[in-house]
Amino acid sequence: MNYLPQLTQRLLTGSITIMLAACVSYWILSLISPNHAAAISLDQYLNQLLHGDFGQSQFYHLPNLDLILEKLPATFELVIITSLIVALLALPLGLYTAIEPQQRVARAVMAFSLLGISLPMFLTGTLMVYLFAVQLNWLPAFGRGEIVWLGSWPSGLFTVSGWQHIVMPATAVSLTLLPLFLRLIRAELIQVMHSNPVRLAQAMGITPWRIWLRYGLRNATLPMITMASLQFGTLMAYTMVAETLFQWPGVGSLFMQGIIRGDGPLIAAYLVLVSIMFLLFNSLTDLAYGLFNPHLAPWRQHTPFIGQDTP
Amino acid sequence: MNPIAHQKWLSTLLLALSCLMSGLVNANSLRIAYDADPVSLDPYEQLSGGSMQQAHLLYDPLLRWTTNHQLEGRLAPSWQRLDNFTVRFNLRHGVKFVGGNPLTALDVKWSLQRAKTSPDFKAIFQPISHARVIDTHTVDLITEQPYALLENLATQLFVMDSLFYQGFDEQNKAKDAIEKHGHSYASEHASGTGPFIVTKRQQGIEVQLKRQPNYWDHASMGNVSLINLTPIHDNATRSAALLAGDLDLIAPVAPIDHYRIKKQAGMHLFTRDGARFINIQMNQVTRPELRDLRVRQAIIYAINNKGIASKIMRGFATPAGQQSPPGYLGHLPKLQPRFDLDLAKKLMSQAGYNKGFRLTMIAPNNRYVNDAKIAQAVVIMLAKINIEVDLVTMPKAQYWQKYDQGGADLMMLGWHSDTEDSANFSEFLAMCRNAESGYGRYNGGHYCNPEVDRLVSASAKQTNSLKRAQMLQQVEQILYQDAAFVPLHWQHLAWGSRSGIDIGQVLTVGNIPYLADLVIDQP
Repeated sequence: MNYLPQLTQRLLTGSITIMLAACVSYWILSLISPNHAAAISLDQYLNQLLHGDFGQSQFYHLPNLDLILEKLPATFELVIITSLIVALLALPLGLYTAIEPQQRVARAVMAFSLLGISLPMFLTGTLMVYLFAVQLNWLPAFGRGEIVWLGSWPSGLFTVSGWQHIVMPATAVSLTLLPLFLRLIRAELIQVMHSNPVRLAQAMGITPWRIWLRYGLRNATLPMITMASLQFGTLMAYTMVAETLFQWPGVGSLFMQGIIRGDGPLIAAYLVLVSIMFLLFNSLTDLAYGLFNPHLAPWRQHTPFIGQDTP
Repeated sequence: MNPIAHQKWLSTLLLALSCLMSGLVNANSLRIAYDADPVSLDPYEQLSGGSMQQAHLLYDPLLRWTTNHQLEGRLAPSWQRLDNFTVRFNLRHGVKFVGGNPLTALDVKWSLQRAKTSPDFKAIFQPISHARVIDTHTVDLITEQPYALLENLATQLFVMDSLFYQGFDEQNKAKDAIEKHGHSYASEHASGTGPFIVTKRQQGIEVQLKRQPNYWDHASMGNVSLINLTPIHDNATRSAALLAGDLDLIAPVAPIDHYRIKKQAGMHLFTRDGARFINIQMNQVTRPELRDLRVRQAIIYAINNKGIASKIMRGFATPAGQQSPPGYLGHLPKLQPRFDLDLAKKLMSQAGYNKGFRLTMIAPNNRYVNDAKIAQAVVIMLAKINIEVDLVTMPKAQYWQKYDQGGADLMMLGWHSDTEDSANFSEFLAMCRNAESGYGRYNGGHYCNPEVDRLVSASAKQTNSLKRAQMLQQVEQILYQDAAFVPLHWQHLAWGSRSGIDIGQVLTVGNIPYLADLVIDQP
C-alpha cells in the first residue's frame, strides 16, 4: 500500500489550483482597487500569501485574515445547522418517496421539492420573514441572538435565543439544497431497486427494510458524497444571500459589505481563502470515498472495479 | 433532591428571572437599527451623518439646533458676539466628563485645535483661527475675517476631555491622534460629557449605550435609559425586523416600505422635509456642448423633476428649482422647478443641436434614495430632446473616486449643508474650482462665474443677516439663470418606529435625533 505518489500528486495539483486562484484574485484586486494593486507586484503578492499574509482591508485597516476569522464562527454554525437539516431530512424523505412514489404525501413532497428548486432563495427567505416574523411573530427577523463564548469561539448554539435566530436562515438555505439531495437519493434508490442483486435479495426473502437500508441506501451514499462536495460552492453562495437577508454577522455579509465598499484587498483575500476551503473539502470528499468504497480509496492503486450490476 | 424541593428551586429561579426581565423592561430600552454604524467613537475621524448622530449621544457641542432650526445653548448656555471677529461663550458650571475630569475652557480650546487637524473637519473649522481662554468657564472663538456663521460652527464643536486623551497608548501612539480608520485610542475610547456612555461595542455588529446617571441636563424629560444600536444594511430586512417587533426604531426607511409601516397597527412612520439637495452636474470641461447656456437650459427644461419626485420618490421629496431648501437664508420662493419639453426642443435647435448628441452619465446606486432609478428616468427624459445618454451606475465606494476624476459628462450629486446655511452649497458646488482654497471642491460641472464667487465670499463676512440673505438669494438667482446644474429635489427623511415612540419630538432638519430628550411610552 504505497500512497506517497498519490499524495504528492494531490498536493501538487492542489497548490497549482490555489496558485491560479491567487492570480485571479490579484487580477480582481487590480480591477477594484487599482492603487492597491499598483503598490504590490504579483510575485510579491503571491509571496505574501505563501507566508500567510492575506493583506490589509482597505476599509477597516486591519489584517483581512483576522477579519475573516472573526466572522467565521457565525458562518460555520449556519453551514453546520443547514447541512444537518439537509442530511436529516433528505435521507428519510428520499427513502420514503422512492418506496411509495404513488402516495399522496410522497407526491406532495416531490411537488414541494420542485418548488424549492425553482424559487430563488431571496424570495423564499423574504416570504419566510414575512410569514414567521412579521405576521405570526414566532421567530426573530434578524441577527444571531445571544452569544456564549467558548474560549475564543462565539457560539449561538447554547442559548434559546441563538436557536430561535438560526432556525430561519438555516431553513431558508436548506430549502434550496434539500430538493437536490432528496431527488438524488430517490433516483438512486429507484434505480437500485430494479437491479439484479436486489431482485435476487427479494427472491431470497430478505426483509424489505434490510434491502432498502443495506442495499439501497448504501448505494446512494457515493453519489450523495459527490453531490455534497459539488454543492459546497452553492452552499457558500446561498449562505451569503441568507446572511444579507437575515443580517447574520458572518463571512458572507462581510464579503458583501466589502463589495459595496469596493474593498479590493478584502475581496481578494476572501476568494483565496474560499478556494483553499474548496480544495480541503474536495480532498476530504476523496477520503470519504475511500471509507465507503475501498476500491476508490485515494491511497490505493487503481484496480478494475466491478459494478453492482455486472453479473 | 426530592421532587418538591426541585420544584421549589425551579420556581425560585423563575421568579428571580422574571424579576430580572421586568427590571430590564422597566429600564426603557430602545432598540434601533440604522443602515451602517460609524467607524469610530471619535467625532472628528469621519465626517458623516451617522458619526454626527453618534457624537450627540456621547459628547455635547457648545450649541445645537433645535428641532425647529433655532440655536440653543448646550455646554455654553449663553454667548454674545463681541465684534465681527469674536463670539464669547460662557460655559456651564459643574459639568463632568465620563472620566471624572471637570469641563473647563481649556477643553474647548484643545478640542478646537484637535478638530482643526482632522482631515475631514479642517475645512469646516478653517474660518476659526483660534480660541482664547478668558477664565475657567469663559472662552472666545476668534476668526481672522469677519465671519457670520461662527455660531453655526459651534454646533459642530463637540468638547472632548483634554486630560483623558493626554499621553500615549499601549501601541505607543498619541492618545489624541486622528487617523482615518486607524483604530486610534480616541476611536475606541470615548470621554465626553454626553448623555450616554458606551457599555459594549462590536463594530459592524452592535453598540450598547447606557444613560449617564449624572448627566448635567436635568431639564431633559427624556426617559430612554438603554440604547441598543444594530447596523442592518438591507432595507427590506430592517423594515421587516421593525414590523416583527424585534426593533423599536429604524432609519432610513425605503419609500417602498412607507405604506406598509404606515398601515400596520402598532407602527408609526415619521417623515419630514429634509435638506439634502440632489442635483446633476453638467461637465463643461469634457463637453463643449455643455458650455452653451441654451443647451444647459434645455437639459433642465427637459427633465421633469416634479414627476421624479412624485412617481419615483413617491412624494418622498420636494422638487427643487434651486440649491437652498425652504427656510434657509438664500431660498428664493420664485425659483420654481422648470419643465417645458417644447421650450427645451426649441433651445436645442437654437443652439444648433436639433439632431442631438451623446453624453456619458454616472450615478451612485447605494448613496441616495432611489439614486439609480432617478438616473434611469433622466436618461429617458433626455432622449426626448435627442440627447442619448450612456449611463453607468456604481456603488458609492467607486463613485466618489470617479466623480473626483470628472469621469463623465453628467454626474449625480447630493449635498447637505455642513453649516445648515445656504452659502455652504455654493462654496462646494457653484464657486469656481480652486484647489488651494478648496472652493468648488464638488463643482463637477466646472461652472465658474466671478460674480457668484464675489457674492458668496462677501456673504461670509456680512454679519447683518438681512443683507446676507439678499446676497445669497442673488446667488441663487444667478445660478438659476446660468443653468449651473440640474436641480432635482430635496430628499425627505423617514423614520419608522413602534407606536409610543415619536421621533419627531427630537429630530432636527439635519436628521439628528436627540435621543436623550426622547420620551417613550411602554409598548
